Amino acid sequence: MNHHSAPGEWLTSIMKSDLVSALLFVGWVVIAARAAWQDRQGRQCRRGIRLFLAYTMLASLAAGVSHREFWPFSRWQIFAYRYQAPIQALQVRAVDAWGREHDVDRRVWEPLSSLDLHTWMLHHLSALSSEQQEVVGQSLLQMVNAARARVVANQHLGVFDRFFGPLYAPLHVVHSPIWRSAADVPPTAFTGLHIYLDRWDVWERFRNPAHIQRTLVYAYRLP
Amino acid sequence: MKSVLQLWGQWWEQFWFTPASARNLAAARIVTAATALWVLLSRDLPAISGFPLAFWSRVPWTTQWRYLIFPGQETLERLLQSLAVLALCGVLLGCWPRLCCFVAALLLYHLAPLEPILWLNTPYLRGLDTPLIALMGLSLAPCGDVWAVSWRHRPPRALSWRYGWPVRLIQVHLSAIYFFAAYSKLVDVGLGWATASNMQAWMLAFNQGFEAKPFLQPGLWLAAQPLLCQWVGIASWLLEFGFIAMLWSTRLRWLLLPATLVFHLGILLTMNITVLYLPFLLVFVNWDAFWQAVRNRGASAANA
Repeated sequence: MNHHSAPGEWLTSIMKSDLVSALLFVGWVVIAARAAWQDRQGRQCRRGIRLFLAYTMLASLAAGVSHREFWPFSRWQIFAYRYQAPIQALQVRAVDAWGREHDVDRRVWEPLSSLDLHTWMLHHLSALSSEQQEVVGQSLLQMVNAARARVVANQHLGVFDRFFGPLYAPLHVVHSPIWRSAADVPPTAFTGLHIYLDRWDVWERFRNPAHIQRTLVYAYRLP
Repeated sequence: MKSVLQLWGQWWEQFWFTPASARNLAAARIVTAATALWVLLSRDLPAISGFPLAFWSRVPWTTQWRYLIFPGQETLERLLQSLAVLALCGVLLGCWPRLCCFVAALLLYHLAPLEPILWLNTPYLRGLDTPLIALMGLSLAPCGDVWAVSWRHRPPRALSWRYGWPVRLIQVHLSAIYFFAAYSKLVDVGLGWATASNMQAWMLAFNQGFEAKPFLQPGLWLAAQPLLCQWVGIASWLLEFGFIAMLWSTRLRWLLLPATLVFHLGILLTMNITVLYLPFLLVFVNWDAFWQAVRNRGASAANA
């Protein structure tokens, strides 16, 4: 999806992609079910498998060559970018009762990953109505405060590692925990959130780490 | 003289339907189920359905109908996830494996998109795409003939065309991931993708953010080595384009499988990025030969 195109254009392209992908998937399932049925009946089994394989190969090739997503047939456009300044990244900072800002542990957002949450906010937060933004701010602050309370009570933070412990399937981009003990969070609940958009050029920042342009895109404060 | 079409048909038949061992197919079944369970149980996808409607307000209706995912259905999603786990356990253990594979594939198609659905209509690169393709293929093959606890157990045929093609399908799918990753770099960026400056810039970009990362120094160190960055770019491209050779050369697997592991370890250490299809590299191992070697060693030890 290209979020840089006009909103209407972007939505139309998603809808088209959804429709084509859904049809492709339904066709794939029907062909698989037909092959299974033929196998069960003991007739023309290999023919059904051939059709299934041909369909799978064509759909995968079409996605790869045309650079279009027809998930589960993917284009596999992995890291195919040339660096262009500026880099953009969102940052959510929790505000305590004294007005001090604190970095937020990424496990706070689970079941969302910080990558998904930040990208959603980057693309959609400003398009929401003020009531919807209020709901989002309130929900996120609740998540942050629930996590803070768990850390203070020396309880476990996050849900992804509940079955496999440290061997859980990592996210695409890996982060380190920063709220490890009660000393890492303020003694009282947070009262607000500040969401910033940071922009920087990697070479300028390499020379001077403070070379960042920071813009406050949204602020939420408990009523 | 044979026509091109006949030659193509011959090649196709030989590529997909060369008789193979039941053990390699069973190994593919176990790897697929274990990976899918690992990914599924390392997330909490149903909980996303329970997020307030404001978060869902920008999800197009076509995306919701495409995957049959609707907001506010957390209880139903938990039930479906439990069914998926049950089906995947069936695949893992080999109980009604073909039915379980089919059911699990359909349920993963529904569940996987929950992870990015708030902003993206495709869950690609999130660990459940390869299992879905593999499960659908496995559902059409006798993948429970060995290494299974099925009470409808059938004695495995020695070698059969039925055992080979699903393993081939997973191998081809994995090769496509690497091939199209290289192809898209070439098409979207051109040869400039592998230049030292582009590699250095990305090393810096992935290590300059404010988020705490497990590995910071290796990436920053590498970013300061332009010559090495140049080689990293070229080597990455060679590996991604060359991966497909493993489909034909078992000898090359001895080189390319360890090289791929080193490649991903390097990406983790320098950019803090992981991929979840790595366990599927195990389908390039000849488990039948491994099994025979272990058995022969055991027999020799018993005789001695």
